Amino acid sequence: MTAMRSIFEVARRDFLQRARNKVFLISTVVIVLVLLGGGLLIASGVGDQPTVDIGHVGTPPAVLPAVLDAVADYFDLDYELHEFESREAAEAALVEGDIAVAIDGRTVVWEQETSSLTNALVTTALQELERQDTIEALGLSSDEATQLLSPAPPAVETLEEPDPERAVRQGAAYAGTVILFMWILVFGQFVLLGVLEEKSNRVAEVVLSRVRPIELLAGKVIGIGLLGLAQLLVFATTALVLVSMIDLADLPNLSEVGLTVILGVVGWFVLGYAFYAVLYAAAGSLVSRQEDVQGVGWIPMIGLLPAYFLATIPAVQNPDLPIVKIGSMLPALAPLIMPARYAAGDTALWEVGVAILVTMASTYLVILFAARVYRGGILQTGRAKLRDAYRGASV
Amino acid sequence: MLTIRSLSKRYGEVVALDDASFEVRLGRIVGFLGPNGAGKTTAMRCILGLANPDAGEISWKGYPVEHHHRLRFGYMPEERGLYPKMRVREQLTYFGVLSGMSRPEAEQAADHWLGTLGLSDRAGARLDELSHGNQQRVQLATALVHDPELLVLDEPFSGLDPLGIEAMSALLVEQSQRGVAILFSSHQLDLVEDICEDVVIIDHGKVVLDGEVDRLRAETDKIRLEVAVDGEAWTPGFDGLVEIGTNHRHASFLANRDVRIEEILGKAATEGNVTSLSYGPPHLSDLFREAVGR
Repeated sequence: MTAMRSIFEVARRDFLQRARNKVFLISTVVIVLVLLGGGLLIASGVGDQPTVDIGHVGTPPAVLPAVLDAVADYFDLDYELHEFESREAAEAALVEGDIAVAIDGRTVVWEQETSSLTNALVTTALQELERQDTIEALGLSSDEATQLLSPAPPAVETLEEPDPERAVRQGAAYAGTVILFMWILVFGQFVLLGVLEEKSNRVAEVVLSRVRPIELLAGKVIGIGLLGLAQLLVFATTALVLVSMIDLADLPNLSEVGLTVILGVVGWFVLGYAFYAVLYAAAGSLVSRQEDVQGVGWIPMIGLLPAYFLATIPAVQNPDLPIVKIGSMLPALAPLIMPARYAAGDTALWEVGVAILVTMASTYLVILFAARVYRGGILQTGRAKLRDAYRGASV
Repeated sequence: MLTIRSLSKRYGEVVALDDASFEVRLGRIVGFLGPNGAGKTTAMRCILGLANPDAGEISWKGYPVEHHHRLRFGYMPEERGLYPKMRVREQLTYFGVLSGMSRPEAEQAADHWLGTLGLSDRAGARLDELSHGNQQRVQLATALVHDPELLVLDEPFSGLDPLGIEAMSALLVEQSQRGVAILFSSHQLDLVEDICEDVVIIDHGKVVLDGEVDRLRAETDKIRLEVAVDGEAWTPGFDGLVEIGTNHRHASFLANRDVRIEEILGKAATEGNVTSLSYGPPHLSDLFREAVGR
């Protein structure tokens, strides 16, 4: 039995046992459906401007449609103008709900409540009519009127190039960080509980009479990690499909930004999970009862929580802060901070390379430490002290 | 042959094994006896590589035991343990595969043992859906699924009903006849006497007695004596007779081999009708008591 085969078989069992779990399957399907449903809702809503039905008592003045057009364009609304012969007919249509608002001369007629956007539309349009009347009464030439009404805008100078994608990138980086954190946390805890399960129901002895502790540890971390990766890829694919469907005129690069963030999340999940999952395994090997989990579950949190807080707020909003730059290349912190920083701002590729190398090197050291604790802890009955487990006092 | 030589192991201040040496030969069933805490489980865990001895050697067929040898060992720990949510057949297959079998081989072996142990109809059930007795059977099947050459069973009879004990005994005998070396621990000495050819008795981590049961019984300088007068237990009151138990039928003693039975019989006859008098080699339980000194 080669070590590779042992690891493969352990990973296979851990993957399949959890993948076939009903709760896991159902929650995965539900999340995909919620993502799809929400996305489709957004996609169908984008580009459709609300249409406002406006009534007018009598024939509207010739200039009204032109003025309404200009104002509706400003408010990003569509409107339709309906003509009524009498005030009564317009009021009846208002009550019926056929129109939202009626214009009678210079009066705005509502049924009851006013919609602020529609109100702004009609009020601004009527004020514009009023203004044109005044200009006419004053006998101003059209040039004079234009000068009076539309003074030249001030010159604008910006010191930095505006980044129209900035908000999108920040939002995506934030969402990506939250997902990355959750996935490392949830699947790390799966590892902890998996180790605890084997220890508490004593199957560990039966397994370890056949495979070496390092093989059981590696198989478990890999099997559960692949499950996390698979679920992440399912959600990522769903998200990518959605992003490609949502076509926002203002955000032409949404797909590109989405892809960057998703690739970052998937790649850093692999690196970050590897680092934290072995710590969770070591923590799980120290306890043998469910009640004691809290007593050791905080160990990986020492790194995970600061990484999360630094990644979600400073790194996303201000990727150039020194603390963010340094944190993004430190062990334990890099897996969350670097992808957030990369997605939110400009990061040199060499910095990403350093972060990856630092994470891989630190993971190797963590494995050396955690595997030793695990070997000492998994075979010790009851709650084991970290130091005793590391020394292998019970084996 | 499994050879344990000068095995020592301490846990802090506690001496679990102290220069312990013994053997388990192919095709032999060795009863591993000792009071609680004597070091039986520690010795077994050392054989399976679950504990590292501080000193001493464990060899299999003349070679120091390594990982690949252990894949040919079957182990049933004292604290039973399997995956509660995993299906029985999958579980057996998994352990077969971990022992180096191909998946089809392991599936075939799983089916074979489920059939042999009368669990074929529960193959697709989760372990925690099985009765306690059936879970014990699956645990045993786990130790046997990969056709091991050495079986190490920690208290295999504990928790079994008389039928279960009978079936387990028959299975161990059958395995030993196939050439499997078997080491099992037990507190049920009469059972050990019935099925074991060899015993190893350990106390405070030291092997205090080991060898073939029949030879040990024959070689001892003690005999076991049971006397009843008028249908009741009777105590002769001779020097050198150690009372080892009295029940409503007779009193039992250990005596030196040179004790004069005629004298005891003569004295008993003066007290009433001697309704029963038997003597012979001591039982395993007598040897055990002598060896551990209590």
